[in-house]
Amino acid sequence: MKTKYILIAFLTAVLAFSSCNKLLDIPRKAVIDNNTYYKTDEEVESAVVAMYLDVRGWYYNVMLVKHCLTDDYFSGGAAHGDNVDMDALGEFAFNSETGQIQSSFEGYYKLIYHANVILGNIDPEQSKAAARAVAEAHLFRGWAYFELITLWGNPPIVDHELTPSEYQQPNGSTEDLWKLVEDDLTYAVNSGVLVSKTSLNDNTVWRVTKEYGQALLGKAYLWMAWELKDNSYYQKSADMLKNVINSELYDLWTAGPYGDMRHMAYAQNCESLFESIRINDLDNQGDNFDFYSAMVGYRSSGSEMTIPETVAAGGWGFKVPTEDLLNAFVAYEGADSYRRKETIKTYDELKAMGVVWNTLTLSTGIYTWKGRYMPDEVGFMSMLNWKNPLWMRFAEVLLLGAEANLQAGHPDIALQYVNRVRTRAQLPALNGVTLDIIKTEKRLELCGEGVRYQDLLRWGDAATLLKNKGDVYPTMEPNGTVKYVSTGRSVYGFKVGKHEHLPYPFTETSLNKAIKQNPGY
Amino acid sequence: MRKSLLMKMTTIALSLLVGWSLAAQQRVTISGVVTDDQNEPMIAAGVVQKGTTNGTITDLDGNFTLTVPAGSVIEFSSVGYVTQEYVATKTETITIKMLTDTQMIEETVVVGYGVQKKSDVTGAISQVKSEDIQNRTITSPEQALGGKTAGVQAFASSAAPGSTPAIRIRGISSNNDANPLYVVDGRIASSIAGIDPNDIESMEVLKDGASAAIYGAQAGNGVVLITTRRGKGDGKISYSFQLSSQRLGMTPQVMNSEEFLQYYLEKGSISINDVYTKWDQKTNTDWLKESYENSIMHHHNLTFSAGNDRGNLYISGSYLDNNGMFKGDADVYQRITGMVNGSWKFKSWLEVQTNNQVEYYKSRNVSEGSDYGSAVLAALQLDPMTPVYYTEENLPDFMRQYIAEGKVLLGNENGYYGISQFNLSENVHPFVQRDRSYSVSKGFNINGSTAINLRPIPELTITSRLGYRFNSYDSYGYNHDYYYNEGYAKQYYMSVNATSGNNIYYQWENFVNWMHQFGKHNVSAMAGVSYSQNRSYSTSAGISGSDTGGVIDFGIKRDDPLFYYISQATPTATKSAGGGQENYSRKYSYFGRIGWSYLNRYNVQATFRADAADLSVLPKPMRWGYFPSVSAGWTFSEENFFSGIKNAVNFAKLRVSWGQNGSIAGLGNYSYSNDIVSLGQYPTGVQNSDGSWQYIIAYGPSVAGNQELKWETSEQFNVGVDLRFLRDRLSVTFDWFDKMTKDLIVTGVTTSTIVGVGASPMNAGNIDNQGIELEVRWKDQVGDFFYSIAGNFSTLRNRVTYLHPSLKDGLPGTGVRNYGTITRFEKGYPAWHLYGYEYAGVETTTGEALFNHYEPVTDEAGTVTGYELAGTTTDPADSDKRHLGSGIPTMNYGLTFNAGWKGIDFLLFVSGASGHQIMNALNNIDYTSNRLTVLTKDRWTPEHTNATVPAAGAANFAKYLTSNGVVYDGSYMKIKQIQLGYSFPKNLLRKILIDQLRLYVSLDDWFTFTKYPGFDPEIVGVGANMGVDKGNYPTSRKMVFGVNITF
Repeated sequence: MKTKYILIAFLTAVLAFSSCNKLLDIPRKAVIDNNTYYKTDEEVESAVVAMYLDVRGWYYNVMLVKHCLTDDYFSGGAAHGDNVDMDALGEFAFNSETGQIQSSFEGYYKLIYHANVILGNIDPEQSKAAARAVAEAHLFRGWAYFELITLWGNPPIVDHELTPSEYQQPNGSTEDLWKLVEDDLTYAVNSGVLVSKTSLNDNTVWRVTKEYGQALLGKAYLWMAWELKDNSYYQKSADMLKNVINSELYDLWTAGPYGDMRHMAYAQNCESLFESIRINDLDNQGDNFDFYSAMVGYRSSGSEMTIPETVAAGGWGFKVPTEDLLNAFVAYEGADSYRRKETIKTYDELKAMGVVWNTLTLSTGIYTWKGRYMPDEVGFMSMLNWKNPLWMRFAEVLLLGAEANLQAGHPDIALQYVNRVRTRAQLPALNGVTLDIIKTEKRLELCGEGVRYQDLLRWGDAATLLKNKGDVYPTMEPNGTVKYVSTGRSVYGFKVGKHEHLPYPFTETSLNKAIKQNPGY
Repeated sequence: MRKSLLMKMTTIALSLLVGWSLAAQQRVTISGVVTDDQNEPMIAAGVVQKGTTNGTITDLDGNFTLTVPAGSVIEFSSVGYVTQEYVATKTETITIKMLTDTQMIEETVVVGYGVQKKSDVTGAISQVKSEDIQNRTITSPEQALGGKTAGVQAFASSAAPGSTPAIRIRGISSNNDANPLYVVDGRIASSIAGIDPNDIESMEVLKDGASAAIYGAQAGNGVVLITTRRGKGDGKISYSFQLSSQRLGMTPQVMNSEEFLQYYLEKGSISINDVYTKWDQKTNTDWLKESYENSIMHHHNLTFSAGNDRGNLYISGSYLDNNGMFKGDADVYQRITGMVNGSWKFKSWLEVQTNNQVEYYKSRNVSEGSDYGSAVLAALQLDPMTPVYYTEENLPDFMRQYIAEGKVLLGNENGYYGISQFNLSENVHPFVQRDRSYSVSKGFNINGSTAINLRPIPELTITSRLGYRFNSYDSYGYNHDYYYNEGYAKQYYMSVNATSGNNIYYQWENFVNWMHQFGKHNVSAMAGVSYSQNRSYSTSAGISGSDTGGVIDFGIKRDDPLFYYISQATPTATKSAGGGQENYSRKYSYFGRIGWSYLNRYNVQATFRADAADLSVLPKPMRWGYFPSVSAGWTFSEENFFSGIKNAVNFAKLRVSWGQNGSIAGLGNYSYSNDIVSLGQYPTGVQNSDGSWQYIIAYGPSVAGNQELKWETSEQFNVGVDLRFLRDRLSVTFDWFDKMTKDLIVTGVTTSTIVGVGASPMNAGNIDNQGIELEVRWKDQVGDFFYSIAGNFSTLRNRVTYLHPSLKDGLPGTGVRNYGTITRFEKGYPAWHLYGYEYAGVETTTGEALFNHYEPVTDEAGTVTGYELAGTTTDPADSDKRHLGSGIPTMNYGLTFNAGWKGIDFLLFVSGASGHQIMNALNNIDYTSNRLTVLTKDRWTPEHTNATVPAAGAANFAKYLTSNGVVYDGSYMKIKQIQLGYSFPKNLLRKILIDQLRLYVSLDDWFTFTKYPGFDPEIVGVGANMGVDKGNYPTSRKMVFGVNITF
């Protein structure tokens, strides 16, 4: 009977065998596990540069959207209809399926995802590199939301990596969204771990700096003052931007002709707040595929123009400056001002440089000069380029500061800032500033740099200035005769109550039932 | 384990033991024989200790052995006989004579972790018994399920030697694999192909949710329980032998030389000149006839069986050699199996049981089932002008030229294999397909389970059972250098590959069965735990020569079969290696069942299982799955109000059950996790001293990950009725079920943009299966003449009811060549339904195919709300594609007729399916390939414009081939078996010391009735390939001779 007791006691014991849970934790082989990554500084850094890659990837879509939507540019191309999405943007006929709008929206949320990966997985106490990674993640996320709010209005708030049950997120409220931007940028600025340049001419810093964070926050305050209808933000904006202006780490660039300031040779110059890095590395040309340079190059890919190497690289002829822009220069600073000639060139000016037109082109006879791509900055039919995308420069900081100070009741400081910009533009100093002066100054100084569309919305000028955008497009004979041809659209131009915001992409609204489409789309 | 818990458990255990020890000694063993009223031994009569699950069934000689507590009542039961009771007071041998009257049927069925009286069953369980399996030409247990039970469908992509069909119980319940769970003597088996059907006692198909729920997370596609044989009687030796002659059955009709040439002249693919220069004006090869031959399958089985009141032993060995009907020895399946099952009662309260199977197999196959060509398809597509062989003498010039150029042409003793001058595709001569490469796979399996049963008191059984599987396999193959045509079929070098691997699985289960009777109540309970682990390991290697711009590296040092090994690679050969990584999977479960019955009239059962998966399957927080079920039965024929009609309807029971099961289909391989991958590199703008640039490599998650991933879960509701009429001669079982499977695991979901990254596999689909099942059995005896008819019938309605909104076009399934996807897993349709253009006849002026054309319908806002038919077009767009049918039969049936008179027995087995469609993908347009005559006979020509089939040269013929122009009704009825046997009289045999001797002849799979113009409507694909016939190895017709001898 003893055996029986022992056996039965044994079996009774095993019947309730102790937890086997540990045996179920079989580690996965031959992969890097997300749960155990982000421990070393090297791993942290690798997560950070994912954000820099995302930002660099924005440039193409975001810039083209912003150019097309202003009164400064026609969408352009080989002919009307060359790029249906671009035409739709330039003519205010876009909808939720317009490609560049969708890609821009995706680009912003991709960056937000990579920022959230850092914020969810990296403890700032871990190391100095970790603390900086977290600060940079906050900065990038704040920046992305600034863009999303100012373009779309009330995008969903995604402040952590979403799980499948959270994939359908509703629109964020205006207050919560701006609070997110303010909190993120404030965290970054106050973190004490963001880098700064060591001197005015330090051109080695590829990271976002504390000063860039301050500039973004100062810019955000200006929008908050308007959108949250709280004038106290003007002073906050002025104070925050003053940090950058008085840092003595940035100044207006004067080492060469104004129109060359963005050339590769002057990359990361003293005026640059933040640039994405591109390099001409023959071993890694695949990294430099970026159609932006091809898109904005003068239309020559079909032999429409012959352009001497000393003038510019050719391309597909999108982003065509409007006569309106030229007129604005003429009206504000005279027909042949230094800044105008360094910003845009006329048909006659280019002709004098040896440019030859061979066929009819979609052109106003006005061509981009500042920011053009030179033949040594592009490769393979302009479809590669190694010029750093520039995201903000000191002139913008000064003009944002001027506006903030004017609104906060410090016209003297505003005047001082505006005159700094004018001096470099070889224009006489003014004795006083108005908001209208600042608006014009900003349009002309920063044209083609992706800031005007959001300004027009904020200033409330879009409805008037963009009312007729899309009725016609220009064509030019080789002899320089420009004609305007109807686009044939029955519906075009900025519509009040609709175009204050871009549409949420159809890919989003069809999969995210919680999101509410902006009115009119 | 914490000390206090251990103390507690010991106390509980000891206190239980005191109670048990008193009762345990008083056990008696009753053995003996059960006979009918003619004194003939009764086979498979139920022998059960009344009110318990302790029971057995009688063997072929009516023998039984059962150990019960002294004083308990043993019930003897069999269909068509009055149940007998016997009070067991002491160990003894008895004879029980059963009387035909049929008040009660008391058979038992195996359920998960126990046995149940059939009358107590509250779920839907179908049984396939050994008599349904024996003497058939089937070689694997899966093949025994089709046609014999309602609610079971078999889908197959091949009937080649050694292949097994995929069993689907109550429909297709996943976009992923939907195989049922196979449990062999309690051991969960990944494959049952290695079990010789002769060694099976019974198979129970647990169809409803409640019956299967005891297997929880793995039972979502149903459960098949297999019970292997146990020893009986006082020593019996049986030998059975079966010899089958196999041949090709139904064959598709393709064009002969004259038709072929005429057709392609019309199309303009060949010129009149070709007819004279490339054809000898007489060759008219029937490739099907030339490619197949009559072949032999033989199957031997030897068993030793014995048992008594202390235990039993069953030893068997079998040998199967099936040389398939494709000419030559490239399609062969050879298998040796052994089984050793035994049990012994070492103490009155302790029994040890072990069941073990050993299998060794070797298998070779010819290519099949590919739209890009195979040995099977080549026999349909090669032109009839090409002869099978060219001898050295009549070799055409172009082949002579090849040889002169040093090209390797394949052939055999009859000459060189003919090279086609018409069909210059990758689909070459069937024998070239067969001989240009060689591959063989071999392996062995040792499977088994060993259990200790403790019965401290009669009411309690404690079982500890270890199941195990040791599996080893290897494969070896090479591809020759050969030349057939310049474009697609040549190789100037050799490649060799080899793989070897093993799997070691074990499962340890401990459970307690308890039952108690008080008054008119019977209560029972079962509870247990299970733990299992599988380790898989494999390594593979390959070498390959190369042809770089005419520079040949042969790959192997010497062109001699004795050198065709990886070790003999040339130094420059390309070498590859893989594997060497061991993978584990583990599971941990708790399970339990409680039952209550009152007056044998009301039965209620509830089960529960909790399963934990390892990290490779589910994320930690989602690890546990909980699977409950409840079921109830009401035997209303026991109620007083029923007594009036009890003579006509002698038994009637209503069953209702509900249960949830999981499915592991689509899970595994850490699919939920988000791994870190490189996302590109970012320059810092800093140049190193050597001029290179500094980069930082970006890393991040490749996908979002899914920490919420969970089991696919089936929820099933079942209502059933069991009726028996006319003294149990007629029995009817009817079931209705609705099985909803939700949380299907779907890959390819697009996340909304705001997620910022791609989706991991998600629970994002639902599928529903509904149907009715009817099983009817009539059994009667008129004098010496005995006969029975068993029929089953089932219907199935399969629908995908939900799929993630980003998958508007469904999940893509299979395609045909490069003509597009033709099956889809799509909301609103059966799983993997056929999808393509709607053929609308022939454009009478041009002979082009016409298809229905649809235009979008938009609402005021311009949103497309639907489509409407807008005429026909010869150039349909993707938006014109529509549902064309489904490969899932909506109706299945089977009928078995048995009759016996004196020593002669006769059996007829018919099964069939209908309500489904088959897309015939045996044709292509890309080359001058032969076509089925259904596509050519009534074709459009300028003289015959009123045709049903497009012109030979119709420009849109590819679209025709993906339209319902080539979709056919898949309905079929097959006479699977006609068998005539003769058993010699026993008194004659006793003189030569033979107990039983039966000889039989049989025609298996001989007659098929169908409108489908392919090979075999039953072998047309599984899963996403369902209903798409790409040229699969068909079922052979078999003429069978067999012997069964028992000593």
